[in-house]
Amino acid sequence: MPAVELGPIEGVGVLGTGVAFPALKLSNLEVLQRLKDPLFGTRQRPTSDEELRFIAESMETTLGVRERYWSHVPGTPLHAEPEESVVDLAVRAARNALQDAAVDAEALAMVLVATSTPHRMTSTVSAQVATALGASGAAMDTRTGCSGGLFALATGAQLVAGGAGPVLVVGVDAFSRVLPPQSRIAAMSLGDGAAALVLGARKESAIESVYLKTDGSLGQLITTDGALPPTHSEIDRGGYVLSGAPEALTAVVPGKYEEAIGAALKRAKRNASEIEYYAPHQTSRALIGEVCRRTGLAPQRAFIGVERHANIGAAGWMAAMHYALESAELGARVLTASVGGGMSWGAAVLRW
Amino acid sequence: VSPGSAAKVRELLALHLEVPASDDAPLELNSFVVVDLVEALEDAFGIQITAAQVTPENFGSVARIAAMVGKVAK
Repeated sequence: MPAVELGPIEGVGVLGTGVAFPALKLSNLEVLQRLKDPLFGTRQRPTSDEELRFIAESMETTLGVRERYWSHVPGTPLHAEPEESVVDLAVRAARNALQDAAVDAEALAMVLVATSTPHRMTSTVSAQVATALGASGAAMDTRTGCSGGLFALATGAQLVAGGAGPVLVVGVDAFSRVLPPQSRIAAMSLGDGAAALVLGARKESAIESVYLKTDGSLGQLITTDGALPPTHSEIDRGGYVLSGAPEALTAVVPGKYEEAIGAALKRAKRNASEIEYYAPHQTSRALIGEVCRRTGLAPQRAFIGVERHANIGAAGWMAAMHYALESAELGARVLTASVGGGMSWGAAVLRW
Repeated sequence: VSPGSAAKVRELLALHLEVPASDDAPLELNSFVVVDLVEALEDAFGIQITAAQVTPENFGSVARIAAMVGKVAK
């Protein structure tokens, strides 16, 4: 079956990383308390504090999520001050990554932003981010769900290898704005955040392999199914909040990770046991563990950051790289993988 | 455990789960479902289930939920 298989792309490395989150941090219990009416409205009796605490603690054990950052609280007016937009979050993460990389925004050839939750239907998040940073090169959004950053990584690495200059890759999502109000697991699983990487020339480093694949027939498994531009009736129906088929999604996703990771390792001529850092898309503790079991990746080398920020979409694996690889030495073998709505999936092996 | 109580448990579970459960198959209920189910069981059987009884063991299958209901009802 055709897929994009690339690499090795020698002499390209991640020069710096950064993350950013909205100011409002909510524990599991605080989410349940704030959303008590929509989440428990179907119950006959009031939900007690004891029951809320029981759920909050159980969710930490099963999903692995303890807290998340939201720029918007579902049920309150959208875009009210002081809500940060995805542009604001992306700019903050980008500034942190540029500082970490000691690269000036003016030197950037391209700004790539991956998101499923753009601030506008037309124009691009990346254009606004580039302008805010003072980057006057080119800018482009990638829209392949939570795997958008991987598609951007593949694009950016080739631009750097082709001599374009450093490329900024940002992943950002604000799921708090598209949460279905009565979806309990979505409320516990999803958060907002941005993460960024600066890709640049470094002779010791390489993108050893990239694997990318898309199948639009699986697009209904997770989506916002309202047509654009929005209509009042579609808004009322819930066409612009997340919907889909959670059980079918759960059944399909692990196999996509297995396929992508297997192909990326094979192309990089690496065994799973050689991978020192696994920086996956941040979904849930259970899924990350299952992918390790299926692929032979060592679970103790998988970075799990969901406890502190939940699933932050396209920003997830880049945030994992930021935290896991802070003190990594040059030459460290790194693998990342993600499956996103659309459905698009991929993996990449990096020599740090 | 009476067959009737297992049938009732199954019926209540069906209300709160999308996938039907067989009597002895292991159940992995998330805590939202457990809380709803406890309320439904209390109302259906006229019993009071304490927090100490809400354990993975007691909620591990339809048969075990029915057994726990039987014990509490005595």
